[in-house]
Amino acid sequence: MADRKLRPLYEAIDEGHSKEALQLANKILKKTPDFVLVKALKALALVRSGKEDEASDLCAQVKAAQPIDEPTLQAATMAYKEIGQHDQIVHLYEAAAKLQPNNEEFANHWFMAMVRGKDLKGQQQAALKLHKSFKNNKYLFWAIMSLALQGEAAKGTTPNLSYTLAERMMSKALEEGKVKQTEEIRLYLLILIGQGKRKEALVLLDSDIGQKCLLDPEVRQIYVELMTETNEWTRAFEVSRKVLSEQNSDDWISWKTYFDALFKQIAEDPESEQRKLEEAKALIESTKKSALEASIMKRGPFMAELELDLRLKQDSKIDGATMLEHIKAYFDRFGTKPCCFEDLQPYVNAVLDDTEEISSFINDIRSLVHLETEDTGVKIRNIQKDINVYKLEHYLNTSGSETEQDAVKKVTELWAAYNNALPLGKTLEKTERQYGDDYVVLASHILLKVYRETKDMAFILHALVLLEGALAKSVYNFQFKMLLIRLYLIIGSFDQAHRIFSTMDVKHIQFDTLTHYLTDGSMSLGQFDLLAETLSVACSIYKANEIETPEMIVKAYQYTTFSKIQEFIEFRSRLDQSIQHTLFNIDLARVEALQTSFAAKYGVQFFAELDPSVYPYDDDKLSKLSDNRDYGVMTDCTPKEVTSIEELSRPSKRTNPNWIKIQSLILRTMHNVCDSKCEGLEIASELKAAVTNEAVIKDVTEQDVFLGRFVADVVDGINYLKNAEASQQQKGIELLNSCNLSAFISSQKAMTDSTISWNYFHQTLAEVECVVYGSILSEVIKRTLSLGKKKKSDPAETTDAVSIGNEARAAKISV
Amino acid sequence: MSQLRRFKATDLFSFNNVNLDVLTETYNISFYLQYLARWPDLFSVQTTAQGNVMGYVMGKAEGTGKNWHGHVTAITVGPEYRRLGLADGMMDLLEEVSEKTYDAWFVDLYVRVSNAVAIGMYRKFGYSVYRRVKNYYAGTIDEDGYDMRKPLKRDKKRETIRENGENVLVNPEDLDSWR
Repeated sequence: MADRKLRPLYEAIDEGHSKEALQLANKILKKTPDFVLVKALKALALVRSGKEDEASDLCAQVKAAQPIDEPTLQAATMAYKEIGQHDQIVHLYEAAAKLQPNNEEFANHWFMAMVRGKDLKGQQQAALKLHKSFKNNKYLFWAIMSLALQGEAAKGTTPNLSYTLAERMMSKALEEGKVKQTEEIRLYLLILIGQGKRKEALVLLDSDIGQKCLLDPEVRQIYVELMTETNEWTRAFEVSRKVLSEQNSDDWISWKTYFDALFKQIAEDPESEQRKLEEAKALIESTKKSALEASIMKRGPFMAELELDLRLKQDSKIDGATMLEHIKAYFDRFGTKPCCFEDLQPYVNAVLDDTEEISSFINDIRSLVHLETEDTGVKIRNIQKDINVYKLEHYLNTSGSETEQDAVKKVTELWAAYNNALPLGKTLEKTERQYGDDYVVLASHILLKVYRETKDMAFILHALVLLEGALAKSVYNFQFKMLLIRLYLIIGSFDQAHRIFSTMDVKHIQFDTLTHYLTDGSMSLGQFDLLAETLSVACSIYKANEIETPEMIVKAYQYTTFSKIQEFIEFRSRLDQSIQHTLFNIDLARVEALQTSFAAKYGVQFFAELDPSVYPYDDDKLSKLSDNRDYGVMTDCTPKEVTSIEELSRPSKRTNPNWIKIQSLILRTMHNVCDSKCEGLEIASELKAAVTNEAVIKDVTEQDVFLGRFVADVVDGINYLKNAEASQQQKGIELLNSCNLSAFISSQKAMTDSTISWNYFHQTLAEVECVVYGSILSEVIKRTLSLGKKKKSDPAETTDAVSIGNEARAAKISV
Repeated sequence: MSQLRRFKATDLFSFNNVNLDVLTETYNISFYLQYLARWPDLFSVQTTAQGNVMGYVMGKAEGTGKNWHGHVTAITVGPEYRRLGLADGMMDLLEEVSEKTYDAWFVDLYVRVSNAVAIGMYRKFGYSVYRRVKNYYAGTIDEDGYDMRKPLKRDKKRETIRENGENVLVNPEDLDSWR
């Protein structure tokens, strides 16, 4: 009976017709008001219609009924999950498991609910109970894993009882023959390594069962790492030598281990030096020889030669000339590969220091490039080689002595080289890049640098023209796109930047790591609707993390993949604590504040209703934010000690914890002063302290500081006005009169072709925000004064700032 | 020359140099984490000496009986790191694990019939076409896919592959019955 009646309800929920589902549920509940399953389904429909509070009440009713049927439990679990009340699912299943102690599934759900809710102790107890009742070893390992996680969380405290207990249980399980799978050994390893017991971990892998795990490539890597960490250099040397000579000479991990072990052995026995080095050179030669015979030539042995040189060079045991010869030989062999530049970076730095050496090196490798050839294939490869020469030249030329003219000449040269390469790419697929694209990237970098030195916007426009032209030929080249986005932001054009960004198909996890390229500081460019839409869409990743990642942690337990659990937890928490999420929240609030404040009373209402909890400002919270933004995507040929292209190309300072601090405090101060239930004092003085603290304001612009000061001062004045004593009120009036925007606003020059830039718009936005916040605060002043009935002063007298603001606003609108 | 290791969940924060390429799809969190939770040893990443992500391979083990096999779900290499033989090393590892850890009969993968470069590369790695799947790649323009296979040691008689698989046309909905 129930099935037939419920089917339409289930279908409505599945198909996302929440309204219809609600109607259906209400109809059934009218006849059978105690139908718990229907209540749970109704709760689900309620969450999905955005009525979380009602849903939460209904879920509580379901929970109180202590359901033990699967459909009800499932529906209630889903509803709780979507409200975000994971802890309630624990109670739901805990009750069910108690009522039916022999139901293994309920007990499993109980455990999983605690995993989702990050209750480590609770999950340990549930796992132990599961193990006791159902005798499956899997549950024993769940309990041990739960203990290991508690041990990790308590790292640094001694004694660490959780780790001790976990280790004891594990060693007992091993004795009893319960440990069979590689992942169970991994669990044992993470307990030992977590306590720093590397010798014991090595002994475990040396045992019979440990040796069986060596089938797994990652366990082999851990094995070698343990050898080096416990100074078992002879063993590490042998293992890595064997991998390199017999299996894979392209494995950099093994080469690094090999050299580490080699030099440790030499240090221990200096007399063996000659022999050992000969041996290493012989290994390099023999692996080089087989690499030369293979169909695809691997770089491993050739780069190993450079690595050995580098290590010898650090002890002055090799002359620069020999090493330089090896570098040139490497370039000649692999210069046709785009990664050659990255490969050579650490090595050229070690041998070249003065400008003469550098220019003769560049000349030498340039002579290895042969562009005058009729053979298309050879020519294409030489174009890449030529690009690598330019990149190395750019990388090594750190003197900065280049004049503007030199730079422009270089750009012309690169653009010509790019155009010469174009005809060769006629038959390339649309998805591929033209062979000479990196010439244009490099030319843009040079123009960007000159712009930073001269502040002449013409250089940015020049770069934009080159990049747009080249993008038309390589429509998917994201290197062009990243630069274009940044350059458009510098000239203040958010919609052009947005146009490019929207072709990059940024989604899911990339919302957290890449959106900043477009949105950082873009609030100043005024395209509020477009910006807010971008931010709101990007925020979906955090909801996804809340819903999806806990399920995946649960899956890792179910598949007993113990080696991944800590990693998933770290992943979850990095997204949970993402700095980008806070940045999104702040900009969304700022946009909404401006958009709702067309009349001051709505602004007051907006700030009164603002939830301040998502705007952290105290140093402890700020230091816990995780910066997952990916800054490493742009090609960059500048050396590490010089300002990176990512930095050069950003319109302003990177948003950072101190920026968050000021913005959060502004929003919170506004909230406190607008919400009659709050006292504004403490937060306002925090704001004042922040905007006068040198260590804080060095990380933000002067406009950010001005807005913060302005808000803090006005709120300060308001607080004096609220005082019962006349002298205090007088002081408040004086304070408010001193909050003057006119100087700030008149500092702005008129907009012309040469001043138009992000900086100009940033100043403008700061003025607009001052005016809007000022008018909201003046509304608060009015209300404060009318509350005090017989105040002597007229509100208009006290709000100079605001009237000035309004004039300015009229002026801005005409702009 | 590179470092080949297991893919970590936190690599998702820094794989953009590969994933911004137009031919590499970015999926939701569950997609990657599900593979990591279930087949952690079939999901590997290759990085440069300096730690930049060059490419990665993700795979799974599935099927029953003689159809128990390793499957390459995705293999991708960033634009700067192509033509270095990286795919070769990643496929080797996936095949090794499929053979030794999972005791699979073969490894298979799907490729667009138009992608001659990739097909040629897989042939060089020892794969041959087993069948052609009609409209396997659905999209604005539908395209057939080749199911390519390489037998592993367990398949001594090479029963899991066949000649002229290019001519064996199946519909996507029939794939499971063939497994």
